[in-house]
Amino acid sequence: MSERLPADADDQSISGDEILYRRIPLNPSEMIQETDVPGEFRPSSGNFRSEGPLSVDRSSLSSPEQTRDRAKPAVFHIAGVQAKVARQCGCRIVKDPLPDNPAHVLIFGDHDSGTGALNGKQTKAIAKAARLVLFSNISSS
Amino acid sequence: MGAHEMITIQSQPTMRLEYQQERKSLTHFLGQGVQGVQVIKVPPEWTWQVEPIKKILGALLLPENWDSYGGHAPGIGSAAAAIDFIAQITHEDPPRPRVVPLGTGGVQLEWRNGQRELEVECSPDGSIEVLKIEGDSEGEQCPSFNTADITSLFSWLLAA
Repeated sequence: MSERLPADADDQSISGDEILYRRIPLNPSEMIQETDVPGEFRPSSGNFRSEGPLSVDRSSLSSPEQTRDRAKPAVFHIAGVQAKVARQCGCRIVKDPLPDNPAHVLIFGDHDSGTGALNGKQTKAIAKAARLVLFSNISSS
Repeated sequence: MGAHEMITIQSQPTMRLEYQQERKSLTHFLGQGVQGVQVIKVPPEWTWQVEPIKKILGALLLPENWDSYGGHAPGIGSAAAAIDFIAQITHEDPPRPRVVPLGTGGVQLEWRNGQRELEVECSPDGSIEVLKIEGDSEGEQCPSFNTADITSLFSWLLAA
């Protein structure tokens, strides 16, 4: 995340249909859970708790593999969620390109928190709609 | 499991879970042993509580930036709050919680029973927030707690 946060006005040039990617730790295993569809997984809402706005990558500028590999040599799953899901629960999405990651955007959550962090209802709504789009194991490269 | 059987998590720093004959205060659950050994003492009657407590202790071993987004490892304050919450659950055989570390340095406990879910966020300062969710509803945030609240929460969860 940038040291100076951008203004948190929602950037409508990011389509509501665009998928936003987030790395999900492999350990502990309870960071993900199976949905009601066998073989389909979603992240726990805990993956979206942070001290400030939430870092994600835009799918129009990054593949799931590129998002995963930005954390090399560590290995992560990748979860994806549509931008409109975040907006529907009151979040704002703001471009925040980094020198090594032009796809980087920030999701700003609860206005009242003063930090930009998402509140519990927001993280839960996003987690329930998100799905793992890249499932990794420890030997993934 | 015998009342005096020891459980050791094979990680560094070594953590040891041991039973104690008499329940004491929260401050006695988590104690600093010698040479960095964390010792937690739990009452002998505890059964289902042991596994989630082991997971909570395991979360303390995460490195900084464990989530690749600069996340903090859970600390003693959040772990103690999570264990204290578990200690106050009076139902004999509730659903088993999921234990999820948070990048804020907190620990989240999650219960699900049918369409009802509880998410309990334990922060590094020891504060606790609970989110009750039923089906596709957005959920209800419950800001403060005492033992009666926890009993009520689990009665709600188990009535699903």
